[in-house]
Amino acid sequence: MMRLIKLELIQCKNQYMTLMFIVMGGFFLMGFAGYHLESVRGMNAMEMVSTIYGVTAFVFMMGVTLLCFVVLVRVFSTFASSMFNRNGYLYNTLPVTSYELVASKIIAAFIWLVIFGLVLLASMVVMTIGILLAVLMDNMDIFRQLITQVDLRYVLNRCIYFFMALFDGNGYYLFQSVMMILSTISIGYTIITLVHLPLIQQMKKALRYVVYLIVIVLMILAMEYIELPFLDTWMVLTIIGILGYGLTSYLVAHKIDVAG
Amino acid sequence: MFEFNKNEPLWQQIILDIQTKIASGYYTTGTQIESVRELASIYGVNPNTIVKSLSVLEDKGILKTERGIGKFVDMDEAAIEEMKIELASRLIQNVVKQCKAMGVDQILFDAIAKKEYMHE
Amino acid sequence: MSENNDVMIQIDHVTKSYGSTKALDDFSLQLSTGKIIGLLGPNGSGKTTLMKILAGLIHDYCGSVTIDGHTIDPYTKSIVAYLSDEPYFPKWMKIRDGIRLYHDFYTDFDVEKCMHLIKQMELDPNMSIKSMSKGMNEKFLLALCMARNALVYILDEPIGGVDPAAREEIMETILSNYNPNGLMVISTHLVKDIERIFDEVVLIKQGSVVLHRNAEELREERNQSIDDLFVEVFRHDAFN
Repeated sequence: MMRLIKLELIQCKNQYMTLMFIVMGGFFLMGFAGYHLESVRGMNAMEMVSTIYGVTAFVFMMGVTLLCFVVLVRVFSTFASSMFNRNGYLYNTLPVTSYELVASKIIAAFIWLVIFGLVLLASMVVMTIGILLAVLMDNMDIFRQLITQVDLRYVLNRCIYFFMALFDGNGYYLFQSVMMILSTISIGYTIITLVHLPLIQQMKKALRYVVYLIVIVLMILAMEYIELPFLDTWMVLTIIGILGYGLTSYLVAHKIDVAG
Repeated sequence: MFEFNKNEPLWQQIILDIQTKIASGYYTTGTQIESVRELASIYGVNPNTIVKSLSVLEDKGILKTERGIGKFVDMDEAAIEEMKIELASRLIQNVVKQCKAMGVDQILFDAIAKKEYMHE
Repeated sequence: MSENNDVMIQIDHVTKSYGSTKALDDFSLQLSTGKIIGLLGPNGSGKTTLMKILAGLIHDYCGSVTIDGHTIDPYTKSIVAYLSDEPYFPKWMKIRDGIRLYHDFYTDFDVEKCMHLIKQMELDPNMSIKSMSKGMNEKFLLALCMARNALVYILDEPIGGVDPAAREEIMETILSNYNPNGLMVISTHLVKDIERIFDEVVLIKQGSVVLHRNAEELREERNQSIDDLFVEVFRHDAFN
């Protein structure tokens, strides 16, 4: 299993690393340039501090959403090509069960999400550094105020508080989030696998996309309207995710033709 | 790689080649011949084909197996001479047949043969 | 003569359809250990489909297939070294990534042997798949495949896109990997050069077995090379 996950991670390593550097570089420039906005320059030290907090928090939230979307899109498109097209020759002839194969892809996708999450976090720090650097280069007074007046301990406290929120309720909230993410990835894989069944592959291209759409709509409807009395949404999602994983693995082992 | 006439079984042609090698002195009495793997590589054929050829050669008394070591030439000088004659006769049979078909009589044949032999 | 009659590959009544066409039609075949088998047939006769089933790439078919008594599963994949007719390594890999991959997943993989073969083929471990030509990619796959000490080798057109000089080398490599406890199945439509290494030949036409005989026996009976036999059997197809 470990070797499969290692394989999955090595795949995109280079591309993703370049992307990470670009992202962090971008945020640095954003911070640096952002300072030079009219409204920001005129602020005093205290106003600047609260602006920085506000902006980083907002950007982070936006960034996380965008990140999930982008990474998942990438993950889903490579799943199809790596499992069912020519590259699938490699994966499907490895001496591992389809269950291990699919699990490794779900886990690897999750790991990438986490890594990019951390990169986003680091980018916030980088952005702040960018702002500070701009201040330093422009207005020594304000810079000195920022450094002396702002209590570093307070800043650290705020950050730690933010992290502790993740582990609220003995990590229950975190657990839910992890389960939902894993399930979403798994369900996505299931949908892609269903569309690659020989029966459907043999249909004309237009018809295939119709099937794709139907399956996705059904999925969304199911999640909207299936309400089991004593189960929370995340539990339902997790159950569907687990079932999806089982279905995907079964289909890959028994029904799928690679590069048909 | 060894050239075969693929219209005939390869194992027969391998037998012939090994016999020729013995006759010509490439393999002398009591020498060990190459292993099955090596022969398969030399002739560019399946090891099973080699095994068949060697087994027939053993039945004919040309080779013998030393358990755990390999196969050895099991013919003395006289036997080798006899085999040489047999091989040569077979070659000449073909030539004689073709020349006869062309209308070459025995006296002409002998003269040509003598000339060509001295030439080589 | 050591006649090993243990059945290594058992294929029973396999039918594989693509829409209305049958790539394999009630196909049955039994292959024993210690043999090198030639799977001969024109393009589109079902050879590749059969090999993909054996390799575990095609799962949707009727009938049963077992290798060493197992249905196609991770065990069979661990004892089968498969060489496909088209290269398939992902573009992001370098040669040494591929070697490391095989080393990680296949216990019968011999890294030294692989490096030796790579050098022989004039390839460099630092080359990237992206930069290599199709021919180089095929050679690389062959090196990986032959560096495994597998029980079963499934080679789909190993001498297909290769120049005549390299063909001999490839045949020698194949022969040197021969294992009397194993089995080699080689498909080709270029019969002339390679027929000399076959124990048995299986002729496939339109998804069915036309003939399955010992090669030498055929030569003896028909006074004909397997290549000529091939042409004779499939001559009609050429003009179809």
